[in-house]
Amino acid sequence: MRDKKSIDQIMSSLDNVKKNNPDVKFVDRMESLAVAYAFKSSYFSKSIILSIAASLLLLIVANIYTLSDYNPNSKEKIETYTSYSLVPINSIYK
Amino acid sequence: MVVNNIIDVSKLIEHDPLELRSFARLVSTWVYNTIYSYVGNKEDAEELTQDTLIAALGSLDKFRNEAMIKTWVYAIAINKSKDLLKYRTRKKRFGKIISISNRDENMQSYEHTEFMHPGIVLESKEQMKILFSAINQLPEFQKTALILSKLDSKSQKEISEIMNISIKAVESLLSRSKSNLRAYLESEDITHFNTFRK
Repeated sequence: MRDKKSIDQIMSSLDNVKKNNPDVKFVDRMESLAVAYAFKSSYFSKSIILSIAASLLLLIVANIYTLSDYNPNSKEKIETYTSYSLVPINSIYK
Repeated sequence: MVVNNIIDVSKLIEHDPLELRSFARLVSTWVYNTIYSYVGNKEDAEELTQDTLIAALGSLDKFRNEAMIKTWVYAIAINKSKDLLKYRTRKKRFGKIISISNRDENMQSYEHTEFMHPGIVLESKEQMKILFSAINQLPEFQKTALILSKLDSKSQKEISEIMNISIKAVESLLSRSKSNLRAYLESEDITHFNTFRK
């Protein structure tokens, strides 16, 4: 239990708190952070990231589709080889 | 360029480097002290000030009322501080459960933080330690009003704008916070600055 005088003293000390300012280094860091954030958000905005992701996906799909033609186990490929082998060599070098 | 704390939001949206730097400087001087008073340590105050800046920059395009930008930034900072304290309170409760089951003494280490407020002169540090412990026990709204009024020297009008309440409500909050503070000081022997109690 505190006496009235000490409580009054504690309450009055509330008026004596000086404003607490941030360090100069911290403020500099904040400035660089703002510029870096702006750069990041302008060059890596959602729409740009989405379009890059979509084109990458398209590229992968196109590659898979193209590569499937060269699959040696594919039935289609074997047929292609067969068709080539059916061409008489003489007809080419004549 | 920021002149007399007036910020050109359109330039900020266009990411004008000069305007961005000025805005960052203003944000840090505006909210750092308030956040510090809320969380009670330098590291958290700096981290939350940075978070406030990022949050403000991230939603600038939705913000149009240039005259209200300061109160808007303050509101972000206060919400971030409250979120951190809530998170720590939850962590502390969870930590207690773990410590009961595991009997791990280290879990108690974040119950009390060292009281460090650079705005307080050394001789009144002990008094302030007690005072801040009592402030941390106030209900959230009363605590916010008291911090803004006494520790951040904000007018009642500014507090009403930041907290989005009427001036009468601010007056009432301030008077209740003072009487509650006195009651805490009379009834309890507060010896630690405990950031995580409300």
